[in-house]
Amino acid sequence: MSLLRDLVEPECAEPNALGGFVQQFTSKNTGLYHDQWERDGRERFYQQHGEEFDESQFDEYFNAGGDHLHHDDLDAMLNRNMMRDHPQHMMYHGDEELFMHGIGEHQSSIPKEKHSELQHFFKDFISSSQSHHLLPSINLGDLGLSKLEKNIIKSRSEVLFRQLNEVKDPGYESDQLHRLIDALHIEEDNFDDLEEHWGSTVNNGMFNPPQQFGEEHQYKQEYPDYDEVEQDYDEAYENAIEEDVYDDEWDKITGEDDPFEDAWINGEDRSVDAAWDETARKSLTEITESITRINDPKLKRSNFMKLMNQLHSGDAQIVGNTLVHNNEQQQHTSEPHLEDIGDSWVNDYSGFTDTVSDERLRMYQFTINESRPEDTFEAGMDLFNQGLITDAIITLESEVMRNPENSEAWMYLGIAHAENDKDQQAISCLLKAIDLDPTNLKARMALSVSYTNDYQKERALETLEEWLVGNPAYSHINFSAIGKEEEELSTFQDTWKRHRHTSEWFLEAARQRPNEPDPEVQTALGLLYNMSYEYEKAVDCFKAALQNNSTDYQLWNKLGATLANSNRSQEALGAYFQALEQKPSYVRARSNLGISYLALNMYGEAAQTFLGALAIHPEAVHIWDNLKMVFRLMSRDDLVTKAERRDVNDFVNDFKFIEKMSFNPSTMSASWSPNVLPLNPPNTKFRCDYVDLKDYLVYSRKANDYFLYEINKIKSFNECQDVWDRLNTVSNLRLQLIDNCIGTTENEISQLTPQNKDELRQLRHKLNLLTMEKDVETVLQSSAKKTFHKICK
Amino acid sequence: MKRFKTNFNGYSVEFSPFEEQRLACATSQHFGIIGNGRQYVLDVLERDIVPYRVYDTRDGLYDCTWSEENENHLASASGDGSIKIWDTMAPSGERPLRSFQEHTKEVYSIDWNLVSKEMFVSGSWDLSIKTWSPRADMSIRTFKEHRYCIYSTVWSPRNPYHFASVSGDTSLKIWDHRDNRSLNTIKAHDNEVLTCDWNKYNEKEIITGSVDKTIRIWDIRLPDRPTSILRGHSYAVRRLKCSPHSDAMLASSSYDMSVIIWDRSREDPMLLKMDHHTEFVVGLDWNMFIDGQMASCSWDEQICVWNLGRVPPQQQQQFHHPLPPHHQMPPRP
Repeated sequence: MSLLRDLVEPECAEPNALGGFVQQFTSKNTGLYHDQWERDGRERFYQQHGEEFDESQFDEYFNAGGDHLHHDDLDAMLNRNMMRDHPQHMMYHGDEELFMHGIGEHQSSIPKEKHSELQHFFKDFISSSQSHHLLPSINLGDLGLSKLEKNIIKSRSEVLFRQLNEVKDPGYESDQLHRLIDALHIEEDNFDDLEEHWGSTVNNGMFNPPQQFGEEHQYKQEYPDYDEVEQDYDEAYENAIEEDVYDDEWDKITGEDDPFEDAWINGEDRSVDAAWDETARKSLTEITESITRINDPKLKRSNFMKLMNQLHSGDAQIVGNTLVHNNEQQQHTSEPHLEDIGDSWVNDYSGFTDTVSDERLRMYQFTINESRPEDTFEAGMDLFNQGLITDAIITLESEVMRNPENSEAWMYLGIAHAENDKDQQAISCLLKAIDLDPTNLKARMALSVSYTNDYQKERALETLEEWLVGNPAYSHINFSAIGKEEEELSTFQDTWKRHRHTSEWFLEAARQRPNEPDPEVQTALGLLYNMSYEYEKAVDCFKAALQNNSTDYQLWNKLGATLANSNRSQEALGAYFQALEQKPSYVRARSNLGISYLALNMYGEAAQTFLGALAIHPEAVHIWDNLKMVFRLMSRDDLVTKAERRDVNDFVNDFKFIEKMSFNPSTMSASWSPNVLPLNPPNTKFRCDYVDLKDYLVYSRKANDYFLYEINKIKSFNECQDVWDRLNTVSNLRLQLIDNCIGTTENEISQLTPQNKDELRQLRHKLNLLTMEKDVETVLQSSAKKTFHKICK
Repeated sequence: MKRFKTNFNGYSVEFSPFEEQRLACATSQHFGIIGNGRQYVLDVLERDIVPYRVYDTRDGLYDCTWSEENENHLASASGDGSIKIWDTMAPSGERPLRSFQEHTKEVYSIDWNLVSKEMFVSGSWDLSIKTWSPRADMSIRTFKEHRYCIYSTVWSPRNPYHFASVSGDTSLKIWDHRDNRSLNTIKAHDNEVLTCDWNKYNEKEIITGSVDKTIRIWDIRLPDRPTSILRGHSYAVRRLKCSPHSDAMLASSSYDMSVIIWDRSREDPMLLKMDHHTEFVVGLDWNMFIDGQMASCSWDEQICVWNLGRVPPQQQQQFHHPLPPHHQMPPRP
């Protein structure tokens, strides 16, 4: 018996002063349930449950004692639970009424009538926090909360508050929490210790994610693959240790001595004043909001409403007793003369520096230690234009290290990183460039692209808007008027609304030049449609942008990516080839091309392309991952293992990717004209060399893809027929060649004796490859047919 | 849609893995900020939802999970740092079978292991994760790496040792029960991550939801970036549950008071947006036995159970292909 008593769970803690109604069940309790059970509970239990339970079973448990327990502790516990006494004055017979009322009636320190008040108070707190308004000052009177309860309220509200709002606003947060605390009469000194506790964890972890210091990337390169970790726990442990080392390093960086952090704290005043300003602005917003909600159309057009809207959206501010319009508004109220435009928008633009907040100006992680004098901006640009991106990055880094005020150098450094598929780095460089020269539109456009790639849609939209507002060519459009009726500019609650809004701006800008589309506006629209998954429209925009700008390799790549995203990988190939023709060292286009090959199940080509990209930019982890995926799909585990070493030179014998790189782009483009099919087919009648055949196929298919792309330009039906005939002939020729080769190989196999195991295996492998090649060709042919039918109709 | 009115604000709802009609719901008074808690066990009948058992606790309950080894047992996570095991054979108002008091702050999440069925995991605001056995008196292991409150801990559906945790420190961590250091850390979002779940058909895929309103889908082998992002909620995503019947379907509930059903095999993944609650929707679950049946609970003190109806045929084919061949990175403009 005593053994069972020991098992009574420790549920006898002090009842909570607020609710405490559990105590109603245990008011007589001393934790000694089984004493009661022994006294009278047993009989009562049988009265209730006797029919369900066999008495002898109980006796068995009781008498067997500990011996029985270890057989199945849980079952024993279950039975023990059955035997427990019921709450004395609350025999539960499904009497819901009695039960529910328990809360208000019993021992709660909060008066019953205060319960709904408290509920409403918390509700107010939650809804006001969510909509970023301050809780009105309420006095709830004395609720008789204990110190512990107040602490609990304080800490839980704080955690809850963080879940409610995406935007981190320390000033607002502390104000709102203070309102809550005041209303509940929680004394300030009460939570000093709590602040310490909760505060410390917050400051350490949340708002300074390590990625700010460009470290995450480094760390990911070390452990990009989870697969191995899973198989090897020792290794996992090692990794975890090293991870901790990084953590430590990070702690060091964020330590007090860090000049960046110091600058951050000192430079931008985030002190009490800032918090007060913020509060003042908030309450102004609050006042004006109710007014701006008025729907009377007459009143809406009134100046008062305009002012209120401006105040509400932050376009205008009250400073002292005067009204100050912010730059955006000023821009179109003071109709500028054509000559002045340049100047005026430069001035107006100064406001945009504010949009690059310090938080976003992250530290750029240099790859070099010190700048070399011979690496000038010009040298960097030369390298960049030649397509030697990695070298260009080093040179430009030299330049910006020596000359950190050079906005243009920062911009090209950013663009170079973006071309190397490193958007995070690109973003920090481009932000720097914009910070130094807010008029740098090219940098803004590049930044929005990088944000899009980095899935930071909100920021991409913001940057696009800034680009448009800052563009002198469109300074005459009154942007704030567009879409203003539907929603408030400053209170963007969700990205989609904002997206719609930004799109409207750009459509308006596009309408200004209907006959001669501005490639940049079209590009921006293309990006916007990409974000909203409207790929058809995006394709049209990029094509329009390419009309006047057909040598822009980045545009070709964007077009390709959009086509690929809308499941038109076949067409995407053509666009990527165009991009690579303009700039053979363009890593992003290469990796995208590989992905499209992968989507078309052309694994060999995909691997070749990825290797080509890696030869230029060997540190690109995600390309290595893609490459490994290709090898897995090819069932070439040997190559997967090889890829772990991350050395492209290992693959020189497996794939011909190096030569591809050294192709001269000019000869390539000449040979890819739709009228000429390059490279004579290998003679496979007598001898079948797979490598030769493969080379021909790859080359010939590329021409095929280019054909498909060219076909879009064809106008008349006859022309179409002509091209199709030619294409079909070539495609049939390829099929014929493969068939021949398969025949030859089968012949060879049949001539071999089973003793020649190695040779036989090799031939079988070749046969497999050839069959796959045939499949690919059939797929290509049928998809080409489809495209043709669509276009020629 | 069947509804049940609870007395407190709903925090978590779970279908029993043994009985198709049984449902557990953890609730808290005053939105869980202060006050008592109540664990409901309900039966979903033909017409309506009726209470089967009701148990009360001193502090609010934030999460609950059914035992996978005993159909009568249920564990709930309490605000006072304790974990209670309930025996639903015991009458209403009864005290818990066991109470584990080790966490020093609110326990916000609890999950029972689906494979190694004698184990469950809990995540707490004291920044620690603990694994437990209902038979042992103390926790089996403690995992401390997160830098802020842990909001969700979920076991892998296939691997008996792996579990994932997400936290207010914006990270997602993958753990092996046998190793007290995490296997992998993914910086999943820019804001607090409130919830995560494993794809039931792909043990390499984890889905996270965050205060930044997005749902991100991660291949844990590619910690670099999510394989895709789902957008549609206008406030924090509070709970995510992957369908037990399809690899492409998942459901999310949010502080924008809506529930969204997603089907990733569609071009527009948002299948359905439901606005049947009038307050934050905090709890969500799929019924394992009845394809398409779901339950949600909310701070409006309602528990709702509904059937999704027929899934369009082209999606149904997906059910027969549980594992997508590979995750392909989208090309980047």
